[in-house]
Amino acid sequence: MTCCVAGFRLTVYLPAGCDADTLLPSFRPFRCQAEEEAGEELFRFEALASPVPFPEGRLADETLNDMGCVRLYDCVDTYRVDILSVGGSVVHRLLAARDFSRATACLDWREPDAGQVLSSMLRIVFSQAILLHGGVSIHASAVCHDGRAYLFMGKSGTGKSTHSALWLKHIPGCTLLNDDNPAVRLVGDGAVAYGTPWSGKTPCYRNLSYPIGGMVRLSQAPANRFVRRREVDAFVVLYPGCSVITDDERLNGALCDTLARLTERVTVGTLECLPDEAAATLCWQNLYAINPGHVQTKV
Amino acid sequence: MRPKQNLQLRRIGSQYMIVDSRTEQVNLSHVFRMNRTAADIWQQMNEGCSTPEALAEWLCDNYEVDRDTALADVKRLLDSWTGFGLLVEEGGEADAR
Repeated sequence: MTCCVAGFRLTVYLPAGCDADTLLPSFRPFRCQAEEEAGEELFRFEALASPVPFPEGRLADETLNDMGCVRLYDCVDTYRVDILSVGGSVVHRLLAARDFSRATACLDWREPDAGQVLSSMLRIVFSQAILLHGGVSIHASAVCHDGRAYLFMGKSGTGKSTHSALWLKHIPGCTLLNDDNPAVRLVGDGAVAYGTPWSGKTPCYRNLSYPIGGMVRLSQAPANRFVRRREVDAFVVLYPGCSVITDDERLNGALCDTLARLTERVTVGTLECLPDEAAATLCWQNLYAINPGHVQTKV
Repeated sequence: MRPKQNLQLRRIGSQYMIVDSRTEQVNLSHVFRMNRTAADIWQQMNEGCSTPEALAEWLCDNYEVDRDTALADVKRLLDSWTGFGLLVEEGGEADAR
Protein backbone atom coordinates (compact mmCIF):
# COMPACT_ATOMS: atom_id res chain seq x y z
CA MET A 1 0.00 0.00 0.00
CA THR A 2 1.33 3.42 -0.94
CA CYS A 3 -0.02 6.54 0.74
CA CYS A 4 0.64 10.24 0.61
CA VAL A 5 0.45 11.95 4.00
CA ALA A 6 1.52 15.59 4.40
CA GLY A 7 3.03 15.39 0.91
CA PHE A 8 5.26 12.44 1.85
CA ARG A 9 5.24 8.91 0.50
CA LEU A 10 4.56 6.10 2.99
CA THR A 11 4.96 2.56 1.74
CA VAL A 12 3.38 -0.18 3.80
CA TYR A 13 3.90 -3.88 3.05
CA LEU A 14 1.28 -6.18 4.54
CA PRO A 15 1.32 -9.99 4.73
CA ALA A 16 -0.51 -11.90 2.00
CA GLY A 17 -4.20 -12.11 2.82
CA CYS A 18 -4.31 -8.84 4.77
CA ASP A 19 -6.56 -6.27 3.20
CA ALA A 20 -5.29 -2.72 3.64
CA ASP A 21 -8.71 -1.10 3.25
CA THR A 22 -10.18 -3.31 5.96
CA LEU A 23 -7.25 -3.04 8.37
CA LEU A 24 -6.55 0.65 7.81
CA PRO A 25 -9.81 2.34 6.80
CA SER A 26 -8.60 5.79 7.87
CA PHE A 27 -5.84 5.58 5.23
CA ARG A 28 -8.28 5.28 2.31
CA PRO A 29 -8.34 9.00 1.47
CA PHE A 30 -4.53 9.02 1.46
CA ARG A 31 -3.90 6.03 -0.81
CA CYS A 32 -2.11 6.45 -4.12
CA GLN A 33 -2.13 4.11 -7.06
CA ALA A 34 1.40 4.88 -8.19
CA GLU A 35 4.51 5.62 -6.12
CA GLU A 36 5.39 8.64 -8.22
CA GLU A 37 2.11 10.34 -7.26
CA ALA A 38 3.05 10.31 -3.61
CA GLY A 39 6.00 12.67 -3.26
CA GLU A 40 9.25 12.31 -1.37
CA GLU A 41 9.65 9.02 0.50
CA LEU A 42 9.28 9.30 4.25
CA PHE A 43 9.44 5.64 5.25
CA ARG A 44 8.93 2.02 4.31
CA PHE A 45 7.09 -0.11 6.79
CA GLU A 46 6.86 -3.88 6.62
CA ALA A 47 4.37 -5.83 8.74
CA LEU A 48 5.45 -9.46 9.04
CA ALA A 49 3.10 -12.42 8.89
CA SER A 50 4.69 -14.21 11.83
CA PRO A 51 6.90 -13.14 14.74
CA VAL A 52 10.68 -12.88 14.53
CA PRO A 53 13.03 -12.11 17.44
CA PHE A 54 13.68 -8.41 18.01
CA PRO A 55 16.72 -7.06 19.87
CA GLU A 56 16.65 -6.20 23.54
CA GLY A 57 17.20 -2.62 24.60
CA ARG A 58 17.12 -0.04 27.38
CA LEU A 59 13.63 1.09 28.38
CA ALA A 60 13.63 4.76 27.36
CA ASP A 61 9.99 5.72 27.77
CA GLU A 62 6.64 4.33 28.76
CA THR A 63 3.30 5.96 28.02
CA LEU A 64 -0.30 5.05 28.49
CA ASN A 65 -2.77 6.09 25.84
CA ASP A 66 -6.06 4.89 24.44
CA MET A 67 -4.21 2.10 22.64
CA GLY A 68 -2.88 0.75 25.92
CA CYS A 69 0.69 0.73 27.15
CA VAL A 70 3.44 1.82 24.77
CA ARG A 71 7.07 1.14 25.71
CA LEU A 72 10.02 2.55 23.83
CA TYR A 73 13.35 0.70 23.98
CA ASP A 74 16.64 2.12 22.82
CA CYS A 75 18.47 -0.74 21.10
CA VAL A 76 21.60 1.29 20.13
CA ASP A 77 21.22 1.00 16.33
CA THR A 78 17.44 0.83 16.37
CA TYR A 79 14.37 1.66 18.43
CA ARG A 80 11.92 -1.01 19.52
CA VAL A 81 8.35 -0.12 20.42
CA ASP A 82 6.14 -2.59 22.30
CA ILE A 83 2.41 -2.01 22.37
CA LEU A 84 0.34 -3.87 24.92
CA SER A 85 -3.22 -3.20 23.91
CA VAL A 86 -5.96 -2.53 26.43
CA GLY A 87 -7.36 -5.74 27.80
CA GLY A 88 -5.00 -7.76 25.65
CA SER A 89 -2.29 -10.05 26.89
CA VAL A 90 -0.41 -9.83 23.61
CA VAL A 91 2.52 -7.56 22.91
CA HIS A 92 2.80 -6.16 19.41
CA ARG A 93 6.33 -5.12 18.45
CA LEU A 94 7.84 -2.58 16.13
CA LEU A 95 11.50 -2.20 15.20
CA ALA A 96 12.59 1.03 13.53
CA ALA A 97 15.81 2.56 12.22
CA ARG A 98 17.10 5.51 14.28
CA ASP A 99 15.75 7.91 11.68
CA PHE A 100 12.49 5.95 11.32
CA SER A 101 12.95 5.68 7.55
CA ARG A 102 12.53 1.91 7.84
CA ALA A 103 10.37 -0.09 10.22
CA THR A 104 9.34 -3.70 10.71
CA ALA A 105 6.34 -4.78 12.74
CA CYS A 106 5.33 -8.07 14.34
CA LEU A 107 1.66 -8.04 15.19
CA ASP A 108 -0.59 -10.73 16.48
CA TRP A 109 -3.07 -10.76 13.60
CA ARG A 110 -5.57 -12.79 15.61
CA GLU A 111 -6.23 -9.82 17.90
CA PRO A 112 -9.44 -7.96 17.01
CA ASP A 113 -7.69 -4.60 17.30
CA ALA A 114 -4.73 -5.51 15.06
CA GLY A 115 -5.73 -2.81 12.55
CA GLN A 116 -5.80 -0.11 15.23
CA VAL A 117 -2.43 -1.23 16.55
CA LEU A 118 -1.03 -1.13 13.04
CA SER A 119 -2.40 2.40 12.55
CA SER A 120 -0.92 3.42 15.88
CA MET A 121 2.48 2.03 14.87
CA LEU A 122 2.33 3.93 11.60
CA ARG A 123 1.54 7.09 13.55
CA ILE A 124 4.57 6.57 15.77
CA VAL A 125 6.88 5.99 12.79
CA PHE A 126 5.39 8.94 10.89
CA SER A 127 5.69 11.31 13.85
CA GLN A 128 9.43 10.66 14.23
CA ALA A 129 10.36 10.25 10.55
CA ILE A 130 8.82 13.61 9.60
CA LEU A 131 11.07 15.47 12.06
CA LEU A 132 14.12 15.02 9.83
CA HIS A 133 12.17 16.45 6.87
CA GLY A 134 11.23 19.86 8.29
CA GLY A 135 7.91 18.64 9.62
CA VAL A 136 6.24 17.80 12.88
CA SER A 137 3.27 15.75 14.04
CA ILE A 138 1.28 17.83 16.50
CA HIS A 139 -1.17 16.85 19.18
CA ALA A 140 -3.90 19.32 18.31
CA SER A 141 -7.37 19.77 16.97
CA ALA A 142 -7.37 21.69 13.69
CA VAL A 143 -10.06 23.56 11.82
CA CYS A 144 -9.97 25.39 8.51
CA HIS A 145 -11.60 28.67 7.76
CA ASP A 146 -11.29 30.87 4.66
CA GLY A 147 -8.40 28.87 3.28
CA ARG A 148 -6.35 28.78 6.47
CA ALA A 149 -5.81 26.19 9.20
CA TYR A 150 -6.05 26.97 12.90
CA LEU A 151 -4.56 24.53 15.39
CA PHE A 152 -5.64 24.22 19.01
CA MET A 153 -3.19 22.59 21.37
CA GLY A 154 -3.36 21.75 25.05
CA LYS A 155 -3.09 18.97 27.56
CA SER A 156 -5.47 16.03 27.21
CA GLY A 157 -8.87 16.97 28.57
CA THR A 158 -8.35 20.73 28.16
CA GLY A 159 -11.03 21.00 25.53
CA LYS A 160 -9.24 21.11 22.16
CA SER A 161 -12.04 19.24 20.41
CA THR A 162 -14.63 21.30 22.27
CA HIS A 163 -12.99 24.53 21.11
CA SER A 164 -12.90 23.26 17.51
CA ALA A 165 -16.60 22.38 17.81
CA LEU A 166 -17.30 25.96 18.96
CA TRP A 167 -15.55 27.34 15.86
CA LEU A 168 -17.58 24.95 13.66
CA LYS A 169 -20.81 26.07 15.29
CA HIS A 170 -20.27 29.81 15.54
CA ILE A 171 -17.87 30.79 12.76
CA PRO A 172 -19.52 30.49 9.35
CA GLY A 173 -17.68 28.43 6.76
CA CYS A 174 -15.50 26.67 9.29
CA THR A 175 -14.78 22.94 8.88
CA LEU A 176 -12.78 20.35 10.81
CA LEU A 177 -9.39 19.38 9.33
CA ASN A 178 -8.25 16.87 11.95
CA ASP A 179 -9.22 16.38 15.59
CA ASP A 180 -6.06 14.96 17.15
CA ASN A 181 -2.94 14.68 15.07
CA PRO A 182 -2.44 17.10 12.18
CA ALA A 183 1.00 17.41 10.62
CA VAL A 184 2.80 20.70 10.07
CA ARG A 185 5.53 21.47 7.56
CA LEU A 186 7.63 24.46 6.65
CA VAL A 187 6.88 25.05 2.97
CA GLY A 188 8.37 27.89 0.95
CA ASP A 189 8.20 31.02 3.12
CA GLY A 190 5.25 29.74 5.11
CA ALA A 191 3.93 26.83 7.09
CA VAL A 192 1.23 24.35 6.13
CA ALA A 193 -1.04 22.09 8.19
CA TYR A 194 -2.17 18.72 6.83
CA GLY A 195 -4.95 16.33 7.67
CA THR A 196 -3.71 12.81 8.46
CA PRO A 197 -5.11 9.29 8.90
CA TRP A 198 -4.92 9.79 12.69
CA SER A 199 -7.64 11.88 14.30
CA GLY A 200 -8.20 10.46 17.79
CA LYS A 201 -11.78 9.49 18.50
CA THR A 202 -13.25 11.66 15.73
CA PRO A 203 -13.28 9.94 12.34
CA CYS A 204 -12.02 12.95 10.36
CA TYR A 205 -9.45 11.67 7.87
CA ARG A 206 -9.14 14.45 5.34
CA ASN A 207 -6.38 14.53 2.78
CA LEU A 208 -6.29 18.31 2.71
CA SER A 209 -3.76 21.01 3.52
CA TYR A 210 -3.93 24.70 4.31
CA PRO A 211 -1.46 27.43 5.18
CA ILE A 212 -1.54 27.98 8.91
CA GLY A 213 -3.46 30.98 10.22
CA GLY A 214 -2.58 30.42 13.86
CA MET A 215 -1.58 28.00 16.58
CA VAL A 216 -3.00 28.39 20.06
CA ARG A 217 -2.46 26.62 23.37
CA LEU A 218 -5.68 26.35 25.34
CA SER A 219 -6.14 26.21 29.07
CA GLN A 220 -9.34 26.15 31.07
CA ALA A 221 -10.06 29.36 32.96
CA PRO A 222 -12.96 31.28 34.53
CA ALA A 223 -12.71 33.96 31.85
CA ASN A 224 -11.60 34.21 28.23
CA ARG A 225 -8.23 35.83 27.51
CA PHE A 226 -6.04 35.65 24.41
CA VAL A 227 -2.35 36.54 24.57
CA ARG A 228 -0.12 36.66 21.52
CA ARG A 229 3.19 34.83 22.14
CA ARG A 230 6.38 35.56 20.26
CA GLU A 231 9.89 34.22 19.93
CA VAL A 232 10.93 31.98 22.85
CA ASP A 233 7.48 32.31 24.45
CA ALA A 234 5.97 31.01 21.21
CA PHE A 235 8.44 28.11 21.15
CA VAL A 236 7.40 27.16 24.69
CA VAL A 237 3.75 27.19 23.58
CA LEU A 238 4.41 24.81 20.69
CA TYR A 239 7.10 22.43 21.95
CA PRO A 240 5.07 20.38 24.47
CA GLY A 241 2.46 19.43 21.87
CA CYS A 242 4.98 17.89 19.49
CA SER A 243 5.69 14.19 19.17
CA VAL A 244 9.41 13.54 19.64
CA ILE A 245 11.76 11.18 21.42
CA THR A 246 13.28 13.95 23.51
CA ASP A 247 16.32 11.83 24.40
CA ASP A 248 17.26 11.53 20.75
CA GLU A 249 19.49 14.51 20.03
CA ARG A 250 19.10 14.29 16.28
CA LEU A 251 15.30 14.07 16.29
CA ASN A 252 14.85 16.60 19.09
CA GLY A 253 17.37 18.97 17.51
CA ALA A 254 15.51 18.81 14.20
CA LEU A 255 12.24 19.55 16.01
CA CYS A 256 13.72 22.58 17.80
CA ASP A 257 15.08 23.90 14.49
CA THR A 258 11.68 23.48 12.83
CA LEU A 259 9.79 25.13 15.70
CA ALA A 260 12.24 28.03 15.86
CA ARG A 261 11.46 28.77 12.21
CA LEU A 262 7.75 28.07 12.66
CA THR A 263 7.47 30.74 15.37
CA GLU A 264 8.78 33.29 12.88
CA ARG A 265 6.12 32.37 10.30
CA VAL A 266 2.97 31.66 12.26
CA THR A 267 0.84 33.60 14.73
CA VAL A 268 1.12 31.81 18.07
CA GLY A 269 -0.91 32.51 21.18
CA THR A 270 -2.39 31.22 24.39
CA LEU A 271 -6.08 31.21 25.12
CA GLU A 272 -7.41 30.95 28.63
CA CYS A 273 -10.97 29.97 27.95
CA LEU A 274 -14.42 28.84 28.88
CA PRO A 275 -16.18 26.36 26.62
CA ASP A 276 -18.39 29.05 25.12
CA GLU A 277 -19.09 30.99 21.94
CA ALA A 278 -17.20 34.05 23.21
CA ALA A 279 -14.00 32.00 23.52
CA ALA A 280 -14.20 30.90 19.88
CA THR A 281 -15.02 34.42 18.70
CA LEU A 282 -12.19 35.96 20.73
CA CYS A 283 -9.71 33.44 19.37
CA TRP A 284 -10.91 33.92 15.80
CA GLN A 285 -10.72 37.72 16.15
CA ASN A 286 -7.15 37.55 17.38
CA LEU A 287 -5.98 35.17 14.69
CA TYR A 288 -8.07 36.19 11.70
CA ALA A 289 -9.89 39.47 11.93
CA ILE A 290 -6.97 41.61 13.10
CA ASN A 291 -4.46 39.99 10.79
CA PRO A 292 -5.04 41.85 7.52
CA GLY A 293 -1.89 40.50 5.87
CA HIS A 294 -2.89 36.92 6.32
CA VAL A 295 -4.21 36.30 2.85
CA GLN A 296 -1.05 37.53 1.18
CA THR A 297 1.34 35.02 2.73
CA LYS A 298 2.74 32.86 -0.01
CA VAL A 299 3.01 29.12 0.46
CA MET B 1 33.80 25.19 33.40
CA ARG B 2 32.27 24.51 30.02
CA PRO B 3 28.76 24.06 28.61
CA LYS B 4 27.31 20.58 28.93
CA GLN B 5 27.71 18.68 25.71
CA ASN B 6 25.02 18.83 23.03
CA LEU B 7 23.27 21.90 24.36
CA GLN B 8 22.69 23.95 21.27
CA LEU B 9 22.23 27.67 21.31
CA ARG B 10 19.44 28.70 18.95
CA ARG B 11 18.26 32.07 17.81
CA ILE B 12 14.54 32.84 17.68
CA GLY B 13 13.87 36.30 16.31
CA SER B 14 15.76 38.70 18.57
CA GLN B 15 16.13 36.16 21.39
CA TYR B 16 18.33 33.17 22.08
CA MET B 17 17.49 29.91 23.77
CA ILE B 18 18.83 26.56 24.88
CA VAL B 19 16.61 23.50 25.13
CA ASP B 20 17.78 20.93 27.66
CA SER B 21 15.79 17.75 27.17
CA ARG B 22 18.15 15.52 29.10
CA THR B 23 16.65 16.26 32.47
CA GLU B 24 16.18 13.93 35.41
CA GLN B 25 12.53 13.47 34.53
CA VAL B 26 11.50 11.69 31.36
CA ASN B 27 9.46 13.91 29.04
CA LEU B 28 10.35 17.08 30.91
CA SER B 29 12.45 19.62 29.06
CA HIS B 30 13.80 22.97 30.17
CA VAL B 31 13.94 25.95 27.86
CA PHE B 32 16.37 28.73 28.81
CA ARG B 33 16.00 32.17 27.34
CA MET B 34 19.10 34.32 26.86
CA ASN B 35 19.77 37.82 25.74
CA ARG B 36 22.47 38.66 23.24
CA THR B 37 25.20 39.19 25.84
CA ALA B 38 24.52 35.90 27.62
CA ALA B 39 24.44 34.14 24.25
CA ASP B 40 27.83 35.70 23.40
CA ILE B 41 29.28 34.46 26.68
CA TRP B 42 27.87 31.00 26.06
CA GLN B 43 29.47 31.03 22.62
CA GLN B 44 32.82 32.11 24.09
CA MET B 45 32.68 29.21 26.53
CA ASN B 46 31.97 26.81 23.70
CA GLU B 47 35.04 28.17 21.95
CA GLY B 48 37.22 27.33 24.94
CA CYS B 49 37.09 30.48 27.06
CA SER B 50 36.47 28.76 30.39
CA THR B 51 37.39 30.99 33.36
CA PRO B 52 35.38 33.92 34.73
CA GLU B 53 38.46 36.14 34.36
CA ALA B 54 38.92 35.29 30.68
CA LEU B 55 35.22 35.79 30.01
CA ALA B 56 35.22 39.12 31.83
CA GLU B 57 38.21 40.23 29.77
CA TRP B 58 36.39 39.27 26.59
CA LEU B 59 33.35 41.24 27.78
CA CYS B 60 35.48 44.33 28.45
CA ASP B 61 36.95 44.07 24.96
CA ASN B 62 33.53 43.88 23.34
CA TYR B 63 31.14 45.82 25.56
CA GLU B 64 31.22 49.17 27.35
CA VAL B 65 31.81 47.79 30.83
CA ASP B 66 34.49 48.04 33.52
CA ARG B 67 36.42 44.95 34.60
CA ASP B 68 34.98 44.65 38.14
CA THR B 69 31.39 44.87 36.97
CA ALA B 70 32.08 42.44 34.13
CA LEU B 71 33.70 39.91 36.46
CA ALA B 72 30.89 40.14 39.02
CA ASP B 73 28.26 39.74 36.28
CA VAL B 74 30.06 36.80 34.68
CA LYS B 75 30.40 35.04 38.02
CA ARG B 76 26.72 35.55 38.77
CA LEU B 77 25.77 34.24 35.33
CA LEU B 78 28.01 31.16 35.64
CA ASP B 79 26.59 30.45 39.09
CA SER B 80 23.08 30.56 37.71
CA TRP B 81 23.98 28.32 34.74
CA THR B 82 25.70 25.89 37.10
CA GLY B 83 22.59 25.87 39.27
CA PHE B 84 20.49 24.93 36.24
CA GLY B 85 22.93 22.15 35.32
CA LEU B 86 24.00 23.76 32.08
CA LEU B 87 27.72 23.70 32.87
CA VAL B 88 30.11 20.90 33.75
CA GLU B 89 33.62 20.91 35.19
CA GLU B 90 36.39 20.80 32.63
CA GLY B 91 37.18 17.12 31.97
CA GLY B 92 34.18 16.10 34.07
CA GLU B 93 32.13 13.04 33.28
CA ALA B 94 28.79 14.74 33.78
CA ASP B 95 27.94 14.35 30.10
CA ALA B 96 27.69 10.60 30.45
CA ARG B 97 24.21 9.45 31.06
